[in-house]
Amino acid sequence: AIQSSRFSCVGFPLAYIFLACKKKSMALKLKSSDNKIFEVEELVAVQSETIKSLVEDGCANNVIPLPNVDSKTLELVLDWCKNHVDVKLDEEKLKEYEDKFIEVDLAVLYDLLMAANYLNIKDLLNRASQKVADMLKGKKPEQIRETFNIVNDFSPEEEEEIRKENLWAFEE
Amino acid sequence: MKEQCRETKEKEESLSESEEEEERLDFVSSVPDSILSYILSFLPTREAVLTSILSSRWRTVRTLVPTLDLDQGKLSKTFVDQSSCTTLGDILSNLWMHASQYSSQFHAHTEVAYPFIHSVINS
Repeated sequence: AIQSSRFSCVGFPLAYIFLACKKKSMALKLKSSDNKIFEVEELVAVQSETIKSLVEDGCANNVIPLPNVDSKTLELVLDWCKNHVDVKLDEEKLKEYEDKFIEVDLAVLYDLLMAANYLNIKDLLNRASQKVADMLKGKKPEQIRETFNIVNDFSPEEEEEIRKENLWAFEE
Repeated sequence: MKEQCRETKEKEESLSESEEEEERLDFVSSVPDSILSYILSFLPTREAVLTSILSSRWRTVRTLVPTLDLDQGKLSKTFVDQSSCTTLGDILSNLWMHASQYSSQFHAHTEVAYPFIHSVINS
């Protein structure tokens, strides 16, 4: 009986402290591939499923290294996360923000895609993928090759074969 | 040591010269198949199939797209004029035939199309 009362005496304040910490959304430290440290609120960072599972597994007490994301990209990604924390945000405003956010050149778009994939941030991955899909949509093959600098490695015969195989798609 | 320095410098110079070209070149060749096929899943299947003419990389990637999004209204006239059930069936079997060459993932998604075929046949 003595043992159990001692346990509850110690247990209660510990649980209290634990809950208080949880409520206050702790700050996490993220380290980019170029060794820059970003201090962010947990609520912001856990929009990355990758970081979320680290936090849940108790592996987020020290600095979290993100060797696949450079500081320039991480800054962008965290800005996206900050703007997606509050789900009650005005839908129109959020769309406006997203449209502006994704207006970047191909190199940045590539970095965002890779980071969103690695960090597992679904809405960012979807928005970036949608952006690339929009660049493909309704374009002629020559236009797409020009935009993405794709080298056509088919012979005229092979090209004809592909058209024949997929006649239903290629016919006007 | 000196030589190493010079080498790095030369490397940097040549990098900056062709940087823009490199970036453009890098996009499609650097994006992994999984992401590229995910991107194609944001397009209607017809438009995704059209990308197979771009290059052999795209021809392969197109077959990895795990989604089907067919709009009968947008299919070419020849196909709509014929019996639409068999033609949609043809299109699906055509999509699978090529998919099975590269991907087992596509097989896992056949159940996606079953209700689709069903609804086409029953409508």
